[in-house]
Amino acid sequence: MKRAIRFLLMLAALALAVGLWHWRTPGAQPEPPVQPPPGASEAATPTGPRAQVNMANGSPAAASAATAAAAPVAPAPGDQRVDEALPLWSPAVAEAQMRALEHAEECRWLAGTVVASIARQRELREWRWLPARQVAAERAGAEAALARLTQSCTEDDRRTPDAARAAADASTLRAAAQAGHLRARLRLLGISADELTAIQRGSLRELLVAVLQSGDPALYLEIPAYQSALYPMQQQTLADLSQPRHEAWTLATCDLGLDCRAGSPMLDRYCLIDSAAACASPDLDTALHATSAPWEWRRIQRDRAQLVDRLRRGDIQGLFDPRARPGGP
Amino acid sequence: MRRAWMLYALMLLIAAIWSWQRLAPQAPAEASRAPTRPVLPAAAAPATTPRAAPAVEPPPSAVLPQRAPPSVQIDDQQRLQTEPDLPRLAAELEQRAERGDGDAAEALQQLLKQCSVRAEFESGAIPAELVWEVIAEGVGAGRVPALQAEYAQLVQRCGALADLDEDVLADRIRGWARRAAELGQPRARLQVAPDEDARRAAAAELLQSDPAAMVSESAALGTLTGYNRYGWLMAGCLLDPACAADPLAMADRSISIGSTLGARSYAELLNLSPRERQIARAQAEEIVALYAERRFDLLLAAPVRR
Repeated sequence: MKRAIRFLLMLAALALAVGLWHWRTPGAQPEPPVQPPPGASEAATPTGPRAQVNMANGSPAAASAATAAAAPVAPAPGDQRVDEALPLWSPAVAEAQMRALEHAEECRWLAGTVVASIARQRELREWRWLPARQVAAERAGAEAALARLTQSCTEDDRRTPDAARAAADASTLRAAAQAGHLRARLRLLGISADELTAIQRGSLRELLVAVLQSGDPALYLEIPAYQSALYPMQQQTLADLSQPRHEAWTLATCDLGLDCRAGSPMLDRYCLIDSAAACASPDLDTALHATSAPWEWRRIQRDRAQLVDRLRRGDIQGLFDPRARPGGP
Repeated sequence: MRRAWMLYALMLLIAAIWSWQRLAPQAPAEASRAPTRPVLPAAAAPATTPRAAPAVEPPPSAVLPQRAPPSVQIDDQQRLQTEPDLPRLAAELEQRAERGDGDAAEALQQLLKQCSVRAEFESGAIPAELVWEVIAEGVGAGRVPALQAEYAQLVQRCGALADLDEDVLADRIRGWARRAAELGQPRARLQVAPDEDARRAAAAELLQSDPAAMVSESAALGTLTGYNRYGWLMAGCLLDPACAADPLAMADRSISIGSTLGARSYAELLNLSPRERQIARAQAEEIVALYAERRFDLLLAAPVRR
């Protein structure tokens, strides 16, 4: 009996030791991550047209600049605080400074590797499969668009900014925002919904209303990039379903007077970033029609018509309000 | 003294059992957190044969992996569409899967996926009314009543399975898919095999016997090869006499509650823009030509990445 107990004790002690060792070994407990199903990442490929930063708004570096300048927060519309370290600019000076800043950013961006990378992906995924004549027209269109957009870029514009230049750019952005410049203020707020506080979302809503009140269609192009940031993450899906599509906003600006024909900066940017179809299209309307599913196109057209109608009538009340959930908030 | 020894031994024995349970990777207590062995809900078992709590999953070597005869596979697929009592079918499939039938495990994960429809519709993230509104935008409002009736019927067929929590269902679907892959089922291996070569081999095996896999597995094939998912989908259509003559008409006829929630079917062709359709058609023609020559090496070659 004693021998049996000792044997049992030894076994138990051994099991206990192994168990404790296993318990203390880091990483021994969690289940290994599950392999995502194939195809899950296909839609998220960084080269997919929908994944590109939208350049048509004239702010090619909007995303990166928003990150770079994330520290300062745009003053709320009624906020009178003044940073005395920054120059005090008139609206006209702020606009000129912002144009210079955005131009240099676009030049750097166009001189970088992204445009070439997009072209390579187009070769593999699209141009290999399309008729030669169509491909030739799109290639030529892309080259012409690049030439037009870069014709006024200097070597200095293209150069990667050193620390001093980056600091000066950030300062320009803050000074322009302080002068009330809407694009600068939008950029300082950022476009990442999960990083915005409720107060910042409120500021963003007021800023977007101010953008609409400006009556400047070129500024309206900023709206789609910021629209989804208006809602906290848990409301995003609901908001996505009820907000006008990105394309609807863009086409509405064309209807309201922005030049969206071949050779315009708008279509050139769309060609280089969003869709090769735009490179050989007479206008943005044709390009978007070619790249939208029929049911999607119907929705874009409906949203576009509603937007144009409301904007022409100045009826912007509630345009950025989230749609109420059926049966309650 | 002797009683103290006995007490000490008892304590150590309890500790040993505790540590052994921690080490046992497939213990039932862990099933809900890490369901390598998915467990059907009690309601899934036939009422006449109450089932004991499932034992620790036997290691894959304990059962001989096997394939169901083609006639049984066809029957399974048919029953997935028509069986009025899906929990009963699930219980049957589970029993067969436990005996090593990879096709049963695969059919079971398909069944569970089908029954996740309610979780998809009523999870609360999006109100159901809005989901129907979006579906109406895609398929036309006139189709919605028929889809709603189909939804109600599916929920009824799923019984208790439709009431399962979304995460629980997702865990079980993943678990049975892994099990099917372990048992050698090619469709499951294509989905979950850890490396591309294994998935490519599974794709070759699948396509050789069943060109319809170009449709059902279009997403997986799209990530694995130089053709995109729509190229594979269109190729499946061109190889199907019922679809080839008029792909869009076929796509329209294929709209179902499953397709609106992402199940692979010809209905996906309705999501293509004119440009994407042009590209898909060109890819499909190449796929069909290579398929006719049985050039699986070229069909399944890795995409060029530059």
